[in-house]
Formats: sequence, C-alpha cells, structure tokens
Amino acid sequence: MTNPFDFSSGAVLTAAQLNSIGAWSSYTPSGGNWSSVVTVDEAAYVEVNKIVIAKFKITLSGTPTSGMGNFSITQPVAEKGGDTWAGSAGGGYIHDSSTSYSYPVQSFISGTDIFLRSTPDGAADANVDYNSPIVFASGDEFRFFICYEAA
Amino acid sequence: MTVTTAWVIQGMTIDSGSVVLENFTTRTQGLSIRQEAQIGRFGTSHGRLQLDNQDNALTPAGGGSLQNYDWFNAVYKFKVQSTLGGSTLASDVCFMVCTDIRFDDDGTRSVAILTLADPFIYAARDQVTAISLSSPVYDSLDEIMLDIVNGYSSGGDAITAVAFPRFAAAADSQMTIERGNNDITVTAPANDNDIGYTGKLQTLQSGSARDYINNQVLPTGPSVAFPANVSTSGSGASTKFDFNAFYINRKLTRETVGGNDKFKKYVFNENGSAGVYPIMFASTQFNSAEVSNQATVQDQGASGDAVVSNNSTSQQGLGVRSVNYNNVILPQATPSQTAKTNVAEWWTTRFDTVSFVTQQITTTLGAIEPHIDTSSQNTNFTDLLSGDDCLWTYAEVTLTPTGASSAKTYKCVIVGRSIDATPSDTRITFDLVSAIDNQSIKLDNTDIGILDTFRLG
Repeated sequence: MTNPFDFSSGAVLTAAQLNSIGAWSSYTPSGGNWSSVVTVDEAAYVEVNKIVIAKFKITLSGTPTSGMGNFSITQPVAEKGGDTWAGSAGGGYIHDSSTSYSYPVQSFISGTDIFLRSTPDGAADANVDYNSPIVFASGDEFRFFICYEAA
Repeated sequence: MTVTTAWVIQGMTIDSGSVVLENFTTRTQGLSIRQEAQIGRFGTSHGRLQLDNQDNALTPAGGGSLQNYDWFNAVYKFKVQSTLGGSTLASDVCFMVCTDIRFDDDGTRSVAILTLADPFIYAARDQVTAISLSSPVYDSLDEIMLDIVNGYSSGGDAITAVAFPRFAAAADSQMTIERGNNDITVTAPANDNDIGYTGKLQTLQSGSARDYINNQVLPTGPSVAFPANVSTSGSGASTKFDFNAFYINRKLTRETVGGNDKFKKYVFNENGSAGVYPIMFASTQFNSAEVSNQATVQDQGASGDAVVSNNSTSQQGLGVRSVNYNNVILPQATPSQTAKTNVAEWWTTRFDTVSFVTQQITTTLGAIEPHIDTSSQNTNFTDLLSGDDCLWTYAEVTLTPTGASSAKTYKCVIVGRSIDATPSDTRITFDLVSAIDNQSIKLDNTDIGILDTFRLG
C-alpha cells in the first residue's frame, strides 16, 4: 500500500499501515524549468509524518537553452514554507555523458520547486543551468536526493 | 417519559412497481429469530412465525381473505417500533423468506406456523457451473461477492446471477452491500503486506455461490458478512428487491464509512440505568473454543506449497487448534508464500490465547424500556435491535458475580442473537466474544484504542 499518513482519529490501525511506514511511492514530477528536455527515469519519495525524502534519476532528452533558466523539478509533497535554505538538505551528482565525468551538486528548495547548486572548479557556487557546471546536452544525467519538512 | 415498543411483521411483495405490504402484526402469536455471523463465513438468519388462524383466513383455498396469499413468494420483514414522547423510531430487525408453512388445528386452536430463512439461502441452492474468466478480476472481497451473486459480464466473460425469487416483481432481486469499515489502499495485484482486503476472481469451481463465498471469498480476508435488511430499488417495471448484506473486512472493527459512523457501543449491566441495558442472565466462560494456533492456507490453483502457520507457544499450553483454508483467492497472479502467510498468521496471532469473558447475556424489551428516556438513548436502542447495527458491534458488560464484592467489566463483541417474542414481551439473548480478539485497535477510542491490549487490523 502507499504511505499511510496522515492517520485519522477513529480510524482502525492495521499492520499493513505500520509495515508501509517508510515505503517509497513513485510520483511524476510536473512542470519544472527544463520539462521539455528531461526524461524522468525515476522519481520517488517517502513521507514519515513531516519528514520527506525524495530521490530522482533524470536523463536529458534534449539540449537545454539559456532561456529555460535554472534546472528545477516539482516537489512530491508541499514543503513547509519559510525553510527555503536551511530546511532542506540533499545532494547527488551530474554525469556528463560526453566526457564520462561526474560533478557533485547540492539540492535545495525554492518556492514549489527543487533546484540544484554546484561549485565549478575555481569558481563561485551557482545554480545549475544550461551551461553550469557543464554545458548540458542530451544524454547527461542527474541523480540526486533531497530531504525536507512537509507543510 | 420512557420508551414503548411494538413489533411490526409484514409480508412484502412488489406489484406493478409498487411495494405491497401485508400486515401480520395483529395475527402474530409468537416469533423466534436466530441471527449469527462468523468470521470467514456468510452469516445466517432463520426463524419461525406463528400466526393466529382462528378465522381460517390464512388457510389455502379455505375461503378466507388471505386464502390465495403466496406465502413462498413474499419477503417477511420484522420491525420494532420504539416510541418516545410521540416520536417513533423503527428498527429493521430481520428479513426472511418462507421455506415451509404448516397449518395446525387441534379443533380448538388454529394456527399457521412459518419456517423462515434469510433469502441468501437461494445462493446456497443455486448451482454455479465451473467458470474460467479469460483475465483475472482484482477487486475488494465484497465486490467479488456481488459479482458471484448478482452476475458478472465483461469482455465476453460472464457469470450467471443467483436466481433469487422475484417476489412478484418484474425484475430480478439482487444482493447489495453495506460496508462497515474501509479497506486500505491496495494495488492490483496486491503487495504481500496488503493481503486480506482484495481478491482475485478468475475461476469458480462447481458448487453454489454460497460455497464459493464461504470457502474462498470471505476466508481470503478473513472477513465477515451477514444479512442486514431489505429494501427496493428502481421504479416502475424495474422495481426490485435489494437484499442487503453487511460487510466488515479483516479489521473486524467498524469505522466511519461515507460520513456515517458505523461503530456502535452498547452498555449492559445487571440493573440497567439511563441508556444502559439490564441483564437478566449472563454466562461467563473461558473462550477456549475460539482458539486457533495452527492455520493452513493454500491459494486457489495451489501455487507453491500450502503455508502452515504454527504458534508453538499457544500450542504448548492449549494443544493444537487448526483452521484450514485450501482455496483462498489471493489477489496476486501467482500468490507468494508471504501472501499466504499473511492470511495464516492472522488466525494464529489473533486467537492464540484463552480469556475469561461473558459469552451470553439475556435481556427483555420490557426490562429495557424504563431505561430509555432520551432521543439519543432511543437511537442507540434502535441500533441495538436493528439487523445491520447489532452484529459485530462493541458491547460492554459489567457484572458483579453472585457472592462477589466488586463488579467486573468485560469488553465484548455481539456476534449473534436469538429473539423470542410473544404479544406480552420479547426476550433477546446476545452471543458475545472477546473484543480484544475480535476488534482491532481504533485510534483515540477509549474502549478499544488501548495499546498493548487491542490488536492490529
């Protein structure tokens, strides 16, 4: 079964519900700045009361352009407002399919989306966009997770 | 101001789209009703109705007003009206059909005695030929029951409906379900941990619809279902009888369904008080007959070995007590051993101990009436008498054993009742089982929401 939360007063508690605490649920992210050039291979999340952990594997199916803005993807569960920076934590890596190099990224939340931030060699950290930390092209991959507090 | 009660006994038929009621109340000299509901088997109702025939009105071809009454083609409805301060509530106690009738006359007294049973008896009489659907149907167990009884048709597959009598209607009678609790969300096919709420309908072996429900559908939960009440649906020529069954899934505990709270609580003690029902007789026993510490479960189609769940601790203390289900319809393409274990362990963990609990109490309507003096108490009283809100409900029984100095309260569940009524009074005996074994923990409920006492659903 899916995530049993929230429990309601008066409902009957079942073993199946207890056993499903921590079970991952898949979801289909919608929107996001790069939605036209991404293929979501896997998007899943687990929610335990207010704790949300989400994981993603995304492959670019096209080449992002400067007009698309920063990479982003929608949250599986609405995040508690006001914790944009301190209230979320996560990370992962970007894989450049042309060079087979990987680059670490940190995930964070802004508004209703999840963003990535990277620190290119010899440069200040910056949001991941069409040419940072690499010049993205079809076939490049994103693998990352994030944990945050649900609203 | 206290409540007054009165029985209403009617024969129901449908004529040209209208329900026709024949009132037998004033002729009724006595009635008995027996209702019971077990886990994993469809519940039953049966009884007897004795009617005064001093005027020979009932005798077939006797020239009386009811000489042509079609006794076997009517549904008999038993109601109790409870009136408080001019406001009357009615309980649908039971509905049955006539399976036999005899006219007894000793030269002084003439009576007609009807032998009655719930209409689902026809589901036990009607042969279901072996059926194989081209693709499995995954659905909740109550919906699968409806498919078997009312018929199923999809993509060229078909199951023929049970041939209920129409009771003079132009349209076929049908079974309906009232749910007493909610299923958890289950994918199709189900995950191993989610077994017990849904089933897989694909093949039916030869037998009656009731065989299939009793041996395969309800044991898959295990679940509870029993006859509840009768109504009609449709209009005009399509007006038909709906035989309603109450369904409770493996949680066993009633919940709020569709905004209606199905959980009921009835309180009994020796003397009665406002809203508390007095007891004339109580029998408190060890419930060793309910113990189950070995369960064998095999799925229909026998994929893999049968699973045998043993509770060795219980077996060492009480000996082996087995239940055996060979044809459960687990909702998986190839049922896993874990799924079978999920059903088997339900029996060996829930009923592994013996407890001392009140198992039978007797009261009368005459004894209850003085203790019902508010509308909410009258509603609770009406629920207690009704067909759908009495069985598988929570009952609290407080007794001071003769010779004892303090009272003891037992948490119970009503699983059966016997009603014996005469024009002067009505005696009701309730069959009880332990609520600790037969309910599941209900969050925030002061009666059955106790951690480390009540069980998980």
